[in-house]
Amino acid sequence: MDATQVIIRPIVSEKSFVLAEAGRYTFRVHPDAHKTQIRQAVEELFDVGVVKVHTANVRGKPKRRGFSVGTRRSWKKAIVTVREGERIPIFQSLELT
Amino acid sequence: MGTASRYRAATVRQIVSVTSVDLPESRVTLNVEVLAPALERSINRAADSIGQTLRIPGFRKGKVPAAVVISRVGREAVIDEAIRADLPVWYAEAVAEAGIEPVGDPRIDIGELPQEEGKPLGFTVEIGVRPEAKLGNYTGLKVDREELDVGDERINEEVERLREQAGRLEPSEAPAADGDTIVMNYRGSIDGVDFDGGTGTDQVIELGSGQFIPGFEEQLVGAGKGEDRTIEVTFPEDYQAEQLAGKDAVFAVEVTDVRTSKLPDLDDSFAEEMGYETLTALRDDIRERMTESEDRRIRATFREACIDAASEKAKIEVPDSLIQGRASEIWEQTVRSLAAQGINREIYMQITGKTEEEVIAEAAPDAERSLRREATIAAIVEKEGIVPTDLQLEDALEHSAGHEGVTPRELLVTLREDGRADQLEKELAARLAVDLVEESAKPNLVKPKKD
Repeated sequence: MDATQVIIRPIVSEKSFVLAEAGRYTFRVHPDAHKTQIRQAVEELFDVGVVKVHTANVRGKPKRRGFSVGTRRSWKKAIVTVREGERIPIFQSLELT
Repeated sequence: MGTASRYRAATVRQIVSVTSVDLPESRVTLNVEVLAPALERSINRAADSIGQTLRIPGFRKGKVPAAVVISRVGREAVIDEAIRADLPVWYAEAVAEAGIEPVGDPRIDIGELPQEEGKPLGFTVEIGVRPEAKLGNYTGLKVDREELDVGDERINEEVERLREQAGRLEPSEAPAADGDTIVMNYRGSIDGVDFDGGTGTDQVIELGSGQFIPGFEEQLVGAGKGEDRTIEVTFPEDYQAEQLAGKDAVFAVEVTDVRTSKLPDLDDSFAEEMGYETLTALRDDIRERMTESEDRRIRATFREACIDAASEKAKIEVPDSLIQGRASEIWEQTVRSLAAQGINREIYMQITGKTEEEVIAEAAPDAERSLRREATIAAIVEKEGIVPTDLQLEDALEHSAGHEGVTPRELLVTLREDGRADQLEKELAARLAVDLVEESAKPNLVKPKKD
């Protein structure tokens, strides 16, 4: 899998920005991507060293509209810790997506 | 978020760089560049303030980071906001950096907005500056000085005023004379019909004070206690109550009491009442205080006259545009001080019945005089190389230091740290320059003008 397929987009939220200050960057990643792939993808795309990768599967919320019942898509979240002092210009990547 | 450190840094680091180009008519153009780090700081501040009202998914209101705001609303909009907020600061910095003394309103042109991060923002300011004076002679000038004259006459006036204040009202059985106070009940009617507000009881009135309708008080002269009188008066045409204006009215007046004002005798016991031992002591004290205040007034006038004389000897070109500029500054100041009294611009215009342009035009002579004075003083300060010493500065601070409960030296140090000492130094240097002219001037004593 290509790096750009593994990393889908950065998560832009208050929480993710707070974490980013401590060098932990949050992404939405491919649901089948594993930690090693994520580590490699981030290192390749942003030219930083990755120390640690945490992942979580986020369950899609059940949604109803009238009689039709459905769920939102489930997705995978990855929080990547980079080497101390290194930064991902996360806002620039934000403009790309 | 490091806000505190950001502001502290702002006071230390240089914010703008300036080059100035002289123009004719005592104007200059300043080419100002807001340095990139300073600009970045104010852009971030502007983004924060925009973010206060922005709703972006993933963030609570007011918690949006500056970077997100910038990418959301666009860098240009954020720079606009930053300019709106910080241009006055940049302008003040630029003026200080260029070391000019601005007069009038600046014309500010903002150039192209920098697109990329790390580029400075340039703008130009066109502003009038205080004209330069080519000094003529400024020492040993002949200047009129009012003679200090606190004669017996003026002291008598003052004593008389005190006596009148100390006067007491005493009941009198004699008919009321002019200057007496009477107490009365009255009922007024027009064509035999009572009118609103035409009746009153226990009304106190001083005859001859002119508080009532013309003719009313005069017709009460000679009335004794308990006497009834009928008074016929005509309301003036311009009386406030319109339904009464110009009407003939009849007042039935019952005088219930007559009091005559009794002035205390001019002797030592009067002086004692005023808190002095003897009448002579009272007079001496009045003399002393009058002398002091007169002396201060004369000295201030003399100092101004000295500078005026010096500026007359000097060559100063004051272009009209500058005078206009200063005149409108004076006007703005007036507006501010009026606002402190709760009078706003519109009301003032109504009271005086003038337009703003007229008021400014009237201020022009004052504006020109003050410009000339300032130019002269600045030139003297420069030529004489007047720099106030620390000791002199501390002397000047004595008073305000006492207020804040610190020593003058401590206050001076604090002012220096805050960068506020410059202003003080300038003012003091100006005062010293005036001292110089004053001390060397040959006073030409003149009799005080009677007013």
